Amino acid sequence: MSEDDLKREIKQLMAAIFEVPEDSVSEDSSPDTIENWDSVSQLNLVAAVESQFGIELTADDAVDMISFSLIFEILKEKFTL
Amino acid sequence: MLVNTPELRQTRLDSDETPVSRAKATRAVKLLDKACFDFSEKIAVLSTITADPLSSHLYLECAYRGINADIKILPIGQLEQQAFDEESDLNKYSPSTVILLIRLADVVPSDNSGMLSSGFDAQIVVDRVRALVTSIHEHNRARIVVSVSGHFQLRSGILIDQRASASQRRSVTEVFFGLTELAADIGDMAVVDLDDAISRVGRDASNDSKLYFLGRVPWSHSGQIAIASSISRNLAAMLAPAKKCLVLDADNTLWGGVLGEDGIDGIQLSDSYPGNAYKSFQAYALELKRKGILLALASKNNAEDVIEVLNTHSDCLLSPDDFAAMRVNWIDKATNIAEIAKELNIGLSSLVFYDDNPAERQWVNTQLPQVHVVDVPQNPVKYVEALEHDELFDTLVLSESDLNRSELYKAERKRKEAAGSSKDMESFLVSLSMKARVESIESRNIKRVVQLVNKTNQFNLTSRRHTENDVKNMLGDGAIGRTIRIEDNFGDNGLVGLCIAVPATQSPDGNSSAWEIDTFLLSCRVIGRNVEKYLLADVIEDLPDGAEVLGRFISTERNRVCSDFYKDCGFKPLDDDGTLWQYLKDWNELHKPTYIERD
Repeated sequence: MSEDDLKREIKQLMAAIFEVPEDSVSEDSSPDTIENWDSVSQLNLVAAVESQFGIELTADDAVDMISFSLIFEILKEKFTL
Repeated sequence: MLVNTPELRQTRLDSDETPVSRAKATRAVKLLDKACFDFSEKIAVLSTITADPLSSHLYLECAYRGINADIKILPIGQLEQQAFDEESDLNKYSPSTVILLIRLADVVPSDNSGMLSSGFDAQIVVDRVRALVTSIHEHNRARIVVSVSGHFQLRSGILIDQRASASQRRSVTEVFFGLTELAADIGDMAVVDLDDAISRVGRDASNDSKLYFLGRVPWSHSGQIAIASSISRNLAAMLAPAKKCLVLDADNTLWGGVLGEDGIDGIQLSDSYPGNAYKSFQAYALELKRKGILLALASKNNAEDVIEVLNTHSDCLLSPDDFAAMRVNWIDKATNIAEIAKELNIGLSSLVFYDDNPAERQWVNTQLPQVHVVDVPQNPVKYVEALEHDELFDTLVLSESDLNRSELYKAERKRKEAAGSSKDMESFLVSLSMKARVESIESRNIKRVVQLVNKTNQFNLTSRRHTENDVKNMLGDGAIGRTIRIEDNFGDNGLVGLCIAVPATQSPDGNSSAWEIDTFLLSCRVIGRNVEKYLLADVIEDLPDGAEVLGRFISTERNRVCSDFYKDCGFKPLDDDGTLWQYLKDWNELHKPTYIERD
């Protein structure tokens, strides 16, 4: 898939998990900009990413996934885009 | 139970168990009108483990069961602190339900790696829970759901001594047993075995060490769903009563094939595939019946054919007696099901309909939306699963009346059947155990007599409308006035018939001891039981030997029911119209029915 496709998928996923409208998720999104993004929903995010993309994340990946751009970078590597 | 409220059901069917799908379903449910829900609950969760991720799962699983849940997760590991302190967050929240989520390794001795030590004292846990619940009840009228996880912190047998392993398992079992006894004692409490809940996904799939080390969450995403589902299911069982009646189709439901086409020897019902799947489904239905669920049959078939299978097929486990109601005919099933509900005196929303035919299911669903229609799978090997899936008959505690219910309905049905079948009419009448009391008309009952004289239309031979004075005058002139009271199995029917016989001023035979029946009537309450014969026979008994009795039948629009009464009593017609009848006491033709006793 293309980088744009990946970005769009991540946005959709984040919108669903954090219960916010899709257009409020941007490449700058982080726990500072999204109210529902706390340590609990972070775990939901981890589970969702694994399930949605059919991959297994390492504990380090999971800990690092604390902003849109970081999520994008980690997944980009997994799919070697 | 999983509700069939359209919006909730559709959301559930549209969603799978992936995190994104669940999150979307949660969002959709939160937007629904609260009127979609049957219950609203404030649920507080006291837990020894991190329960926060469970919150959204609990919300959705409750919603699927018709419960609009407001969920408050209290700080981890503060069971006593929250329960005992009047000013705690728990008590300020004032929950209607409290979930106690206990991982056994957190409350009994365990080793450093978090595994249970071998064989511990189960009573410690039970006592602790009792104290917590007592304390919670001091400040809240809340139902309690104690949810315990134990087995998954047991080491597998090869790592430690097998006996130690077995005694660990026994201790865990003793905890559950002690808690169910506590629940019986306290009431309004459910005990949930979380290991049983997780077993649905399996030990490996429910374990996600990453989540545990990151956030101290002991279960994977799918493990959390299984747990939330089980807890919600138990809560729903406390809030909503089980469905009362399972309405079953016959063809391709209770047996394979179509009876009308394949014949009794052609249907599939046996101990080998696929007949064994149907047989097993019948066995399951029978178990439900033993638990107090009523069974009903709604089938498009010839009734005799179906009865033949139920009575004679050697692999048919269900018999006609097992059904509290049956509608085997060719009219539409929605009408039949509505009648079944009325016959059993239960609401439509207490009924479950199980039919292999999607067209029938669709029809019943649109005509009777309150009836819960099960999604029956194509393969009969899944019939029992499909019925279990919707959790329709969940009961936390069976009562005496549950266990006896089917017998009561069976007795009632037998009574109704006997009433309808003419060849069993005699035994029906016998079964009524009727007792008759014949008395004279006097001041004590004259008002009731006059009332009946003036309002009885059907079983009234002459329809003469006398006043109280008329009756008194007749009695004064030597008339014989008799009333009859009937008591039977259903109670005292009161004064239900009367006869006034006046001395005849003329008689065709010139006989001085001649009487004419001026008034003879019966309350419609007791028509068809030969009570009238008892009364007339009793009156004639009192007449002198050799007496002649004349009876008139004056036809009206409403009294055709008694046009043959005198004939049935052995009277002979004196004219061609059937209006004048004669009986001589010496003929000895009229006898009191044997099944009516004298009171």
